[in-house]
Amino acid sequence: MEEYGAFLGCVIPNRYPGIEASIRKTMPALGIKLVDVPEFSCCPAPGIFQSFNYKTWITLAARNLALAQERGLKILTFCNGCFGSLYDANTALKQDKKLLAEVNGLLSKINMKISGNVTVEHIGLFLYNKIGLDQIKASVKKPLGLNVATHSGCHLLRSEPYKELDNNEKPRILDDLVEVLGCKAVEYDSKVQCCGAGGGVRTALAQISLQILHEKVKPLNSSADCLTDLCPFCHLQLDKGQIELNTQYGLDYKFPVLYYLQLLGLAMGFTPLELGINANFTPTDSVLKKISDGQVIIPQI
Amino acid sequence: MEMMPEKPEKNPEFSNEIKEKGGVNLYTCIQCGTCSGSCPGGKVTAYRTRMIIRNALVGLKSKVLSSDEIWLCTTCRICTSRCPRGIDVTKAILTIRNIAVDAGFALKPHKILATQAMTTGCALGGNLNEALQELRQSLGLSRTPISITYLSDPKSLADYRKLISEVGFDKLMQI
Ligand code: SF4
Ligand code: SF4
Repeated sequence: MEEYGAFLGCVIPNRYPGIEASIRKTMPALGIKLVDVPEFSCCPAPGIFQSFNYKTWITLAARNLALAQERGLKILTFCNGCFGSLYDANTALKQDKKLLAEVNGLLSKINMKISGNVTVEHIGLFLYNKIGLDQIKASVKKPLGLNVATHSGCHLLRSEPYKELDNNEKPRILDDLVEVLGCKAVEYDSKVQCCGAGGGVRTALAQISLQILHEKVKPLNSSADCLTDLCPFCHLQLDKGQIELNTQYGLDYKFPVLYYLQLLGLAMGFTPLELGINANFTPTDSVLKKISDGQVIIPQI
Repeated sequence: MEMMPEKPEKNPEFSNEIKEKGGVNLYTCIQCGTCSGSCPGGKVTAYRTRMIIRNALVGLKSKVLSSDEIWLCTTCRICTSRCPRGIDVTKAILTIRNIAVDAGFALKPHKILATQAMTTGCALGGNLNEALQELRQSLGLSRTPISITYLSDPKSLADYRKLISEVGFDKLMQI
């Protein structure tokens, strides 16, 4: 089994353990061994740290990269924020020797060193590129038969490695990943629009963040059974944010949102409980009912 | 007699400072407004990305630094992706924020979150309530998360904090 350092970040383990469960169930099923690195810290959260102080941001990211380098591990991230921080920091250190020397000067105070050559993967691109659609398709035991709207998230869509693979104004990668699970990817107007959480906006300007979310979810309609994403921070906004929109603006949103690996886990045959799907804020019963109804129709001769 | 409005103070060096600190050259901006038209924050507020770039270019430094508007950007990068002049608009805004924080402008909730992340190594403060611990356990996970996001490794936390004080971020957060 190929080994990867699992970079789970802050949001997954602390807010969405169901997503962590889906990671720990689906990755080994695809032949990936995840190594936990207890020494990892926050990536650090790009919205705050990049906004406040670039030097602090890159130095703390470099410490995480150095931990992976010491262990000879490639990093696999499951969050657009973690990916953005670690990938961008690694690239900046690779390209700018002066910066690299400066950061290494700081890291030397804690006896660490970095060369800027760590591989940093994002789960979405990793599945598409390294695992491949065929192998994912082969792992499916129960085609889901759902109509799914996809939200890839800004820091994946507009990252350099994404642009090399796909048109980020009309993204297809997550759609393809959804379709190999026996689902249909459905289009919606705000597909490439931001969820409204990033850049510290959700933290400091919650009302505006929710108004952006409203623009994001308004175009979703009954042609989709659920929304899927690849980032726990987008997920928090899209999932819990709907409940906040309802309580604060008297709206009635209940659009189910599943992290992509939760969908994959269902298709692999894991139960909703094993994948913590019930721990999402939006109700998922309609999705689970459609999946199980679909299974009843399969003739058992 | 009508009072003349106070003339805004101009600092022509401001765009050079952005170029030096963030590596972003604003001088090629043609003020087309593609950035504003694409901006998710601009859809729901009066925030106009183009105006920030404009104000930076004409040197309205203190106006830009003290405005709440610079904190409306979600860093979604769609302006950067679409700018016909290839300007990294998002990076320009982040650089402006860095300069604003140095000058003492930072929103309180951001400072609280940064201080939390600075102390615990976790942006969420690493305090998991009983219900979430139960949920983790019921999913077959360790009750508390594995990395130092939970203060589980004292040496890592000490190293992390050492880096923060070497860079001077702790002092910056006291402003
Ligand atoms: S899109 Fe680019 S060129 Fe057009 S106004 Fe914005 S920064 Fe200037
Ligand atoms: S990166 Fe910021 S300024 Fe640019 S479009 Fe997104 S929210 Fe607006």
